[in-house]
Amino acid sequence: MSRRASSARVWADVADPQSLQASILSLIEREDVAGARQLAAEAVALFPGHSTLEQMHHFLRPGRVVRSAAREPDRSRAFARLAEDAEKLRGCWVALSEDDVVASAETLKELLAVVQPMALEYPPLVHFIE
Amino acid sequence: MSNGPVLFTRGRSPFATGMASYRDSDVDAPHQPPRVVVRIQPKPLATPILAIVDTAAPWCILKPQIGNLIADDLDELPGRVRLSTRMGLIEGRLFKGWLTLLAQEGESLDLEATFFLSAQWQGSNFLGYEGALERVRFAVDPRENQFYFGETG
Repeated sequence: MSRRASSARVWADVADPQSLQASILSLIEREDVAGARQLAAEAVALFPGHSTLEQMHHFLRPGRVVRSAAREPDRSRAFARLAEDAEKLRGCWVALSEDDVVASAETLKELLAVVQPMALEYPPLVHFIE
Repeated sequence: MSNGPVLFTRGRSPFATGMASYRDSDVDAPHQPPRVVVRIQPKPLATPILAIVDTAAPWCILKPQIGNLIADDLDELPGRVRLSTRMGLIEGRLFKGWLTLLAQEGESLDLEATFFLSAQWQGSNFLGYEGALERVRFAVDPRENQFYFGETG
């Protein structure tokens, strides 16, 4: 018997899908992501077609990485301006262009509504001033 | 601005294909211990945000106001989870989606990332390791405050 088959046999003797889900979540909470991935793979092999286990297995796979054409400007001038004005803006969401603080609002939704029509070369960076 | 590699391995193959300057403190809290604060854009948010690089964090963590705007477009892991943080144990949910690690030189990277979202979270945004950076080569030049990154291949 292969090691994998042996492992599956052991789980089959002691586990049902619900307890496997709980064990996967427990490993996640212990920040043992590799262990959670492995258990999710074994659980799917043991209970093929179980939608929640398959969802967990799919969710835990390592993420993909692809290059992007997005580009970010140097915002050092805007950060310097924000540092000057930070005291006045505490508790606010702010939007930064390349050069300046271009908007502030009490909520992120309000801020995004204000900056959406602005014609800026790059999307503004948004930040909450603690 | 060039789109070519910005940092090479010993064999002259690209190590990093993107670079961005980073801040070593939060904009509004300059007296906190030094950090690496980079710019990311979680999709479908149309604007970049600041996030602290944290290789000890398993997941990316976003402020609830940002999470609320994007959660409907993300895949959700069934079940609630608790995360141990410097602010104590908080409960939330895990979501999978995409974020862009933004470059000033070279090329940005789109990462499929895992986000921990919780209404209880009152801290900054974090870029975590297993939830994002584990598939990225990265290097820091602390003299120039530059963060280099590229695909692991």
